Amino acid sequence: MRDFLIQKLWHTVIVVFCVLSLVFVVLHLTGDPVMMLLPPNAGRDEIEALTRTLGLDQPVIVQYGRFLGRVARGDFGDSLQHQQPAMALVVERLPASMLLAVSALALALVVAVPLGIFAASRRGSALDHLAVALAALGQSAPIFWTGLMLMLVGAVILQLFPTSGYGTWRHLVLPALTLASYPMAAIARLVRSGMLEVLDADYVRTARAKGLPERQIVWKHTLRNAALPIVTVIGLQFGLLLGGAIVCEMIFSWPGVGRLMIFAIYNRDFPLVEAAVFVMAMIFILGNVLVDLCYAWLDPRVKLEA
Amino acid sequence: MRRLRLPLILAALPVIAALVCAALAPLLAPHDPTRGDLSARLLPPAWAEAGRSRHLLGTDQLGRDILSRIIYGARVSLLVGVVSSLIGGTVGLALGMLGGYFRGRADSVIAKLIDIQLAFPFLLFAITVIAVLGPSLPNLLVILALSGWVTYARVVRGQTLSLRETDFIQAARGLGCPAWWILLRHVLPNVVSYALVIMTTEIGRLIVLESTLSFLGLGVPPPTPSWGLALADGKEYLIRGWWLATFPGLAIMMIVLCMNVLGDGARDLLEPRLRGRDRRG
Repeated sequence: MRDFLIQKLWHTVIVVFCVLSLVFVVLHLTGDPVMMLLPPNAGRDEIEALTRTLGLDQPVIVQYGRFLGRVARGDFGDSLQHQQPAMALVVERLPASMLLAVSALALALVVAVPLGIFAASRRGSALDHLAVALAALGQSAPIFWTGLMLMLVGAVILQLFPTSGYGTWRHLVLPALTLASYPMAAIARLVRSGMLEVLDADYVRTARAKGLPERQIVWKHTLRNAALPIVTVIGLQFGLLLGGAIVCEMIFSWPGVGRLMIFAIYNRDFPLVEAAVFVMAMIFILGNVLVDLCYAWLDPRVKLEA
Repeated sequence: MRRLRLPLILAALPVIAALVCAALAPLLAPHDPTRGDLSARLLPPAWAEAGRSRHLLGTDQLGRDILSRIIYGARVSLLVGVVSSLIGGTVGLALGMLGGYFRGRADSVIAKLIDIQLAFPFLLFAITVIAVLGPSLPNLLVILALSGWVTYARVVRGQTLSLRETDFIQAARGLGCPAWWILLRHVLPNVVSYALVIMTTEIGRLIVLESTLSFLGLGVPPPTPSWGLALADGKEYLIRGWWLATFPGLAIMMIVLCMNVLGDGARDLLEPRLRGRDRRG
């Protein structure tokens, strides 16, 4: 277990380093950041002053070192638009994004796992076909369209929920449903095929032959073995969830990090973009590490291979 | 086999229709997709009460014909989907074959690159790059191509690794064939079907990615007709005109659903060994 953790940690460090380098390269080597930060009609004095403040008169390697130093202190500079530390702005929006992502993932799991099990145990029935078709549709609909249609039905036609905003549980329903739609479909499909695969296994037949109740076979013997691919998919979904959250926040005017980032891009507010990208990438990486740990817990063989 | 065919044909029809639309857009579209008619703004579809037969699917907030914009939008979506998956597929195929065949340091660099890219949320990368370079069609193509190569490289590398140990490759090497000859003549024909299968599903994924970026205002710049852009416009007018967002969205969903079905079918046809793994029952 210790070797496994050390290896994972090492891997994480490499990835974090790459992310940081990417952010640095994108901002500092593609074009002149001074020209991007200043309005087009800026005078020569302004340009020189900003060049010096940003340390751009130094060699690239020195700039890179300073950049890493600043990042280690969580200092991405002040947002150009809000005149406040960029990191603080991002952190302030984080709870809203987390709330949305966690509710969506929970919703997806609560619906998809029983649905998948149900479909697998009644394989070939009308309900099974319906579940499969719904899952295929859910996986094909782009999230922004799902969101708009849910808004159209839930907020405009039925007027059950507000179209946008943040605060009460009613505000959360439509965004969370939208964000949950894709992982829900993916997980349901996977639970179904995973269950079908193990329901034929020898040890399940043994359990049946022992006379165990069907409920115990499904939940204890089959699901735990089918859980591995499900955890993988949740891990893969994490990135999609993150991207989806950005879209979702834009549709429903949800005050999260994603919306903050997109508006920062529109306003060419680069310190804020950097901070937001960094925080989201860290969350993603952390999520992946958690998935890996879950993996090792579910399947002890993983540790041995590491 | 026979059971598979009907869904495949049904799925191929909309894709062919979209290809025809993209190729013959100027002939098929009833109106100029970029010219608005301010006296005909936000007209509902023809079958609605206030609809006009000139605009079958209604008009948008600038009075542009939605059907024409969907027909022209197929150009952007398909172009982006096909070209970027071709670029990504070629790069991934080449790197996967080289890494898997030669092993050694090049291979471990490629494997690390794959790991790193998989460990980073791609949409974030795309957003960062576009934020700096600015949205345009060429930038979009390159970024989407970058998003795809990993899948090809990983699968092709794995296949090449096991192929290089097979008797016929060993024999070719024993006869003194140069490496490039073995790669082109013996390895490529055995891995290209995998790449084709991946490509079918990749096109669908890339179309969604393109429309997502366009929806966020980071894809194709307006006024080019794009399905994602049309949806972004539609969002603002959801209450006054539901048709603005509904039809372009249906177009995207239709194409992606069909590409997914075709991808499943292609996998079943080209890789009989995988048949039945995902689609049981």
